Amino acid sequence: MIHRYYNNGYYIVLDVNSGAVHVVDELAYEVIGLYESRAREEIVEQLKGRWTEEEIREVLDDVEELKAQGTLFTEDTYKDQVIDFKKRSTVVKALCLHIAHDCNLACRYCFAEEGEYHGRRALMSYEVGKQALDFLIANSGNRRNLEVDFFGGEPLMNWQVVKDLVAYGREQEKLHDKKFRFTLTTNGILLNDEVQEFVNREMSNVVLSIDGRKEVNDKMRPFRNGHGSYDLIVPKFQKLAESRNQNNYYVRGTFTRNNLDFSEDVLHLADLGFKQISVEPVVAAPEEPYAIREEDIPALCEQYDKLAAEMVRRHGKENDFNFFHFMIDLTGGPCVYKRLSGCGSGTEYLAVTPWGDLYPCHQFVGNEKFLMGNVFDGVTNTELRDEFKCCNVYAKEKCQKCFAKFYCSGGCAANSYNFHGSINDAYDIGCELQKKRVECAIMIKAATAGLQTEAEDMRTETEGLQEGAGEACAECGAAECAQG
Amino acid sequence: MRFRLFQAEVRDVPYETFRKIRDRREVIMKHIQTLNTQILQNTVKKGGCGECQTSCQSACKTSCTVGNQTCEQHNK
Repeated sequence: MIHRYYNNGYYIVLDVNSGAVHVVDELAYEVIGLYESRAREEIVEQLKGRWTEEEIREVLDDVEELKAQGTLFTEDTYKDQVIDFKKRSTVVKALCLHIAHDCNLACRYCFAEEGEYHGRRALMSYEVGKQALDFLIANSGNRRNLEVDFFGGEPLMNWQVVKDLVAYGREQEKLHDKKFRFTLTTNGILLNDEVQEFVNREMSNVVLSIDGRKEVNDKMRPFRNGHGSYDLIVPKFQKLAESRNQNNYYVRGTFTRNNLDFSEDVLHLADLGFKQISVEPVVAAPEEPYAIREEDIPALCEQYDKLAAEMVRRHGKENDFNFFHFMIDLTGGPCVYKRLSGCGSGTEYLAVTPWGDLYPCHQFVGNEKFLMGNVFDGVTNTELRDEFKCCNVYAKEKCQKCFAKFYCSGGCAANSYNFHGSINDAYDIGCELQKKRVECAIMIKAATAGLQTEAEDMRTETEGLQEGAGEACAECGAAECAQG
Repeated sequence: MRFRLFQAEVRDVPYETFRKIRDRREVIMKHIQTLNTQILQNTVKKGGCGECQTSCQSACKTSCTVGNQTCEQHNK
């Protein structure tokens, strides 16, 4: 299975099952497009008007060589031979701790309903948090790296418990030969020097919520009194980002139907000096006025193209930046197992409510149908866990013919459930945008893979030739001489 | 490959001009460049240790992005 596309001047061929990415010229692009449906001589016949037979045969030889190498037209051998999802043993390795079901903002798109998750306001006690860490250690098997995200609502509203739990985790990791990677997701309202110092010492990553331009941010991320949050959080976030040397953090935003020109928001964040940026489409019920609609997809895809092209322009310059959703690791990326099994929600990743209930992930919290157990008794709803265990790329009909399946791994189970009532479906708008992001990410790799120098060489030389285009050749006197 | 870059970067130059450059420099046109040498089939044997980061813990909380994760073994 291959996926061919043209983006920002690059002809790109992705061999889906091997993950190989080929940057090709137009001839190779055409040949590869015809290869599976035409015989060799038919391809030569069809293309020889535009290219020479010799060139076409050269490309056909290249294609056959790549096919023999296992990087073009490779078969999917993973489904039956590699993984038995039902039998695989799973351990818990990551928890999303809902340290506070309360928030000091009233973001209009909040899936947590202003922090309350369709329930009551609550703060996690130290005892519940401690039990959650014990549960994680006890259920993590041989996994050494354990992740704990302090999430909310707004976790800084329960800051002392966060600090106490980090201290407890540091004690326990020594006893059990584990390594906790703590992360924090915050809206920044309560961020101060003391928080910053602690976060920089203890948190491997911090996610800072901001949507972009002031008017965009303030419309969707106001205080409860209606005032915007932008002016308060921007200087704090800038200071924190600098204090972490512009690494191991993300400013993270959500775009909605209110800002379909979201590339401007990403660039705004970049121009504020942020180097690590993540801006995602809102996922909302279709009746919400800010929800992304199917008709918005072409405009949003254009925005991704525009953003990707700008990132190529900025590459290596002082104003460059990293966009989370265009990150792609072509050399040391995830193994097949990871790519097939996806985000791990409901199995290796669980969310914990302030009172200790377990859910498959933060997005399912509050939906009683997805209650899995609690940190005291462990996972008791094993039927539900097994359902998530079997949720993978091959369980989703829509994914079978999709070129992006090994990059999104079947997509978000919660989105699938919210739109289709099943975790084994896929959220269609999300899929279209994901596919575009994968295309852009690969294009950026192609554009920044050291080929620019060659392009520059050609440009310089071409300019030289064009300047002298009207002059006759010094050797033979002809105006159009192949000798140059 | 040079032809592709030529097209991308200098669209308004006639093909004949390009041919002049190519011929003079004796460039052997290579039509396909592969960006990655690590292919998925190779991860079947050694993969699956599970030590890698959980995707939703990084910077997405509403969409699933796995392809950008780094293999923990590759980091060692």
